[in-house]
Amino acid sequence: MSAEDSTLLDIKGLCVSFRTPRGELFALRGVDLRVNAGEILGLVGESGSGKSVTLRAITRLLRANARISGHIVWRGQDLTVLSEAELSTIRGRQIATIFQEPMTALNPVMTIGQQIDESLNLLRRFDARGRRKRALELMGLVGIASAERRLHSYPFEFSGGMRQRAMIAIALASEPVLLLADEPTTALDVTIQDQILKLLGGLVDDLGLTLVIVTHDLGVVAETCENVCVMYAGRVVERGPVAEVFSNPRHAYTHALLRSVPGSGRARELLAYIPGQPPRLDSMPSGCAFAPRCGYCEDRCLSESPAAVAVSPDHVAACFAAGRLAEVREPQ
Amino acid sequence: MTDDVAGVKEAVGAPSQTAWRAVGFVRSIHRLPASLIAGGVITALLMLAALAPSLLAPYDPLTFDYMALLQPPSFKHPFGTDQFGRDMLSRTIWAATIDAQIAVLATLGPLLAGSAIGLLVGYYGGVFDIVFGRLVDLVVTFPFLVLVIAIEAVLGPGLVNMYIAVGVVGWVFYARLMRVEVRVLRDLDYVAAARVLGYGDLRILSRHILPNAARPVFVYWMTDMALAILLGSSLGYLGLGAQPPTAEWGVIISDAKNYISQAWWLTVFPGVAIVIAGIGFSLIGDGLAEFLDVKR
Amino acid sequence: MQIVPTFLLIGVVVFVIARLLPGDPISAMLGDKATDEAVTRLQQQLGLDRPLWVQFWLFVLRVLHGDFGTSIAFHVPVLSLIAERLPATLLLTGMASLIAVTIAVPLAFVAATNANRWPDYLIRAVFQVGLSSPIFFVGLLLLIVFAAELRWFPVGGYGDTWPDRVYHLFLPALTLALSFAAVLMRNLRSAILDTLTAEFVDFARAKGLPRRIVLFRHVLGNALISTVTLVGLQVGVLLGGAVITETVFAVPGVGRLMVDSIFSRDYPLIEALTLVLAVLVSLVFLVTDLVLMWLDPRVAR
Repeated sequence: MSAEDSTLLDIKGLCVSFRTPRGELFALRGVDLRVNAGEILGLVGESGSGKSVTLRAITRLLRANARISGHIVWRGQDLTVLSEAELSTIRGRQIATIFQEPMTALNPVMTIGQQIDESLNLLRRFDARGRRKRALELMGLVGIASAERRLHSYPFEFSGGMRQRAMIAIALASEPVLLLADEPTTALDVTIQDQILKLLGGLVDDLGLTLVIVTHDLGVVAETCENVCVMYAGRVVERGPVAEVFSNPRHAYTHALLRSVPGSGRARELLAYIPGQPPRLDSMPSGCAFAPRCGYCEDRCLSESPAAVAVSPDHVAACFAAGRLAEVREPQ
Repeated sequence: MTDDVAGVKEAVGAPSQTAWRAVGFVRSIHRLPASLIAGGVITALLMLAALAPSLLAPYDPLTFDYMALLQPPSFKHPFGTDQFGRDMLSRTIWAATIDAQIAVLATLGPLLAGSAIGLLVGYYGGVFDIVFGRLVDLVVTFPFLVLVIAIEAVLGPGLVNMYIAVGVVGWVFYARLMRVEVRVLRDLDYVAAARVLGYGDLRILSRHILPNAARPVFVYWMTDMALAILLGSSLGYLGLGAQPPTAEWGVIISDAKNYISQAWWLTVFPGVAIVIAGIGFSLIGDGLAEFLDVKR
Repeated sequence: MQIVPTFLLIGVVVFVIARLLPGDPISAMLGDKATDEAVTRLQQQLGLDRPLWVQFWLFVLRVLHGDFGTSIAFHVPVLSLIAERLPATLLLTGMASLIAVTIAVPLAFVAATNANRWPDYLIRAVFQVGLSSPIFFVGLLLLIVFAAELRWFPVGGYGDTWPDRVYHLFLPALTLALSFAAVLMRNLRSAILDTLTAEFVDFARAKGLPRRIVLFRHVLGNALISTVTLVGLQVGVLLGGAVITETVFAVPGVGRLMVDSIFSRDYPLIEALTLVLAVLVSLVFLVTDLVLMWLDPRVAR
């Protein structure tokens, strides 16, 4: 079985723009990424980098004023050419999504049981009793105690962590192959974050799920993910195995990002940070989008956009300074 | 921008100052919301009819014409004639005076009194606020029309009494709105800062709070004028507002009660006038809300 | 339970104001030329010669016994008079509410899901015109077109049997419904618009639910909750509109009775009517609250 066989999702040249009164703004300017079966992929970037848009674009959950171009190949099928009706059969049952804030993502006036039931109904496999049994199983799977009672509870009666578990249970009910998680831990306390991440990791192992986690937290990626895609200003700037990318970053942005994580430097050193702001969607610089803030910027960075170059078989970076960065070694 | 202007001036040969002012005025109208312009046009027409009816009306509204009783709309009488041969178009135009008067007079009192009370209650709060709250609850739950009718029954029917009745009840709505706005503003940081600086209450109220709170109230005033015309004509129809022979749209329609099946034009045209006048004010209200950036 | 003091307060207010009305029922009944003797006799009969506070006390006692007195103008027990007229008004407002909801909900839905496109503009424009039209005018228009010209409906009145009454009240109910629907539509449209962009709708879509289920169960369901409150609050407006509608269509209901009783200074009737009105409004609020609690579990806390 070659590597190609196990590629579940192949995104090529994905561009997403939004038609606004201020004109057409591009949130994604050519995203390439690949997800293999059974892997845990981290999609990391600052706010505005386009990571959430990428996730939502896969199952076309964007606002009505969005325009998508490019190819999203899911198990050999290009999702971008499917109709809304066809796409809705893939949503949930093959690709499930969980959102950042379960308080707003769950319908406040329906019980958890009812919301799980909705997903189970799509399978058309169970009768009422079967659905109830399955719902209890799912609640157990995600670690919700007193499942019987909880089935009849409303979202506002749960704690934050339990709500997130409930959302995962609902997403799993339709037995998806791929789970897309949009900042699943951002809204939670650190201790709960840990639990949820462990839960997700466990589910991947036990159920053979494939998981894509969108986050701005490098720690989450380091702990949980096998591979990582780093995004900046609507493009993937670097991707590869986590261990390799984090120890040997080959894009100036990734490099700067890793340096700015507290604790990655020596004690009593000034906290490194990346000066400036990410570019606004309506004033994108020509050339490399990171150039204005880059410490390794050359002349050609301002006019040319660097192409993605394979630094090693699985590790790709789109930076003119990739070579120079190889020689830089920072203490971890 | 100045280059453009200078360039055009050169090409055209400098026109007069007034011409430039006119161009500037027209340009700035462009930026106004469409609803504001439309509403403005309609209301301007209403005011014209109200202030100078003789300019618009083709006939004298009081002249009987026994040769032309109950005529349907025609070229000679676009709105038809009534049972006395009076031209309906002229009657409708002349009645605009009364209805426009109602729009303004029925709302001005509540606007001023209500705003003042709302301002004080909102700013000082305390026991006044509690009493005010109960009062508002009471008034708001009862049908406005019934309350006004009840008060008018005490005073007797008539236009003046109607103003009084509406005034007694209507101020509550302005006060309630003003109070909400003031409460929000009062707790804002820049007001707290002003107080810390030692500014007196009067200064804070007049300079900082009032200008901002006034905007939504002003927008509401426009809508209220539309409502006042509806109410005034309804009461006129019931016999509790303007009294015959005063020509008011509601009264005119009431006069036509006996001829409903024979002469539909007696009812329809004055009614349409009411609707258009109401729409005019509503549009201004909407446009103003958009223009002043007020949430509705 | 807060209702009781409110009723008491309303009772007092009504009583006092009614007594303060200038002009009195005596002269209304006997005319200006009545002799002093006749006046005194009638006063005694009606109990109007006793001190004010005694009158009030008697009033309270009687009310607690369910006796609201006799109408001065109609010479029949007030309660029976109201009982006679109330069904007409209830039927009218009930039908109007039903028609209004039937019109407003689908149209608000269409308007919201097509926000800022031509169906939305068209619907909003039509309803804007409706909002700016006085109820009596709308009623008269319907009367002219459907009753006088087309003769599909009777020109007002009430009818004898229940089906007949529904037939008679259709036009008045439609009139009342149109203005009510305008307010409903506007608010429902906002509520639906807000819900359409809520995250739980996105999540429902992400689950793979068919568009239809998402729209009806999630969007409409949640938006309706805010509408229930609104409908309840508007009952006052509905009753006010009923007064006009009953006048235009000559419906023998409580609204018209109210206006008439004020003019004839019919104290017992006025008091009873106001009390009944207050009870009615409060009941509607109570029911609205209960329905809201049933629909939205968050409220019950």
